[in-house]
Amino acid sequence: MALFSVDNVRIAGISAAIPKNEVRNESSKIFKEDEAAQFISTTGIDARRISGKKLSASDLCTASAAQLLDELNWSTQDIDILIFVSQTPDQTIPGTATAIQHKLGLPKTCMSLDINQGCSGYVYGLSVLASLLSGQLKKGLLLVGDTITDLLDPADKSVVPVFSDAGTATAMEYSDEKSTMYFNLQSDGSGKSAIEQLPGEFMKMKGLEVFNFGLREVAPNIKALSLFSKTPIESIDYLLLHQANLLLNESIRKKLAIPKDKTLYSLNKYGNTSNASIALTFADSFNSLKSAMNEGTFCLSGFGVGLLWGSCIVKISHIVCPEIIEL
Amino acid sequence: MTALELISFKQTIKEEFPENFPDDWELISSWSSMQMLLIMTAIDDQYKVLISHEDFKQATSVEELFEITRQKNN
Repeated sequence: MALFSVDNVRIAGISAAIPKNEVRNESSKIFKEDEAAQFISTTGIDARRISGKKLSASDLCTASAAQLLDELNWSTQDIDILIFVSQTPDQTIPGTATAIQHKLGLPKTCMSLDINQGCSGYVYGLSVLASLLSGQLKKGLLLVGDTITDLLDPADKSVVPVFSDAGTATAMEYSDEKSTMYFNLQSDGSGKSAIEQLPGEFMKMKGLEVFNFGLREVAPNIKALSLFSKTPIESIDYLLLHQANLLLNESIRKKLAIPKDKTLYSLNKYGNTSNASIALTFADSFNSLKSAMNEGTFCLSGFGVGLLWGSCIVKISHIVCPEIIEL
Repeated sequence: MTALELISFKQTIKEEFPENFPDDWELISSWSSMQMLLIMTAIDDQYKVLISHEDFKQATSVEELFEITRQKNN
């Protein structure tokens, strides 16, 4: 079982970047008559940000990382690890992490790693970076983003009104203070075809299968992590789920009996931004609630394509979280 | 399966339709994918039974969906 903890690592900052181009489901021609209203009320998704192939995931992530390094006052020379999590890399060969390492001016002593993961990618990426930083490495960047709308059939109603683009950066560092991150990571390749993009084709999603998976797997994963970490569900200050859709996320929240006011959302403003949604929602909520979110126990959970799912319980305090950048 | 349980099940399903629900609402072939998501959630919430996409394919009517739910619940 991939239930484990990592000591002596803290999240120092989270930032996010989104394309300027906003589209609204309310006025989308993809819907007939009153379909849009039902879609928005059920999924919670109206506004979405579209890169339109003008911006890549690496552009969005690089901009948010540069801003975060600046706000943290961290020298690029101190970064030991860069991890780029994306399903929409700049190209297949070579990986994109090294291109970002170069663009950010990180030293050659920095290790760079690409991870191809979708909606669970933020939590998986956190686990890899945290594990590396709990050893002898000191500072690292986790860049997570997708321009998933590049992969969609413009006429496919099951995906076009759902997905949106964003890039994020999370800065983490070794800490002498007692701080533990807890993880529960899972996978099930039998559901591989639930969301997939075959070579030369658009990405397709079997909505009912994905929804069923989310209802079945996410709450038990979080409950197991709560037991493992000895963190009672009621002591979680903030639940931050991958922003899949309102109907599914609310069902998961109710299964966990976590109050609505402890649950963070950005679906209505940014839609489902794939692997970027957790960090983007954190940045959006932090900038609205600042002082309230400056310290607390967070439960982060990502789930989707793969099928992959995973959760993290982490105490966050004194975090740097700049305003979301529009590019 | 008692008549009362079926009535209550049908009511659960009916509540997931808009006020101007269609005459053929009891036929699963008339449901949109959005309605199926709502109904999957309602059955899970009310009966603690997770209906799969195969169940939706297998059942043609609310009665048949009720039977699947009842069997899964046992």
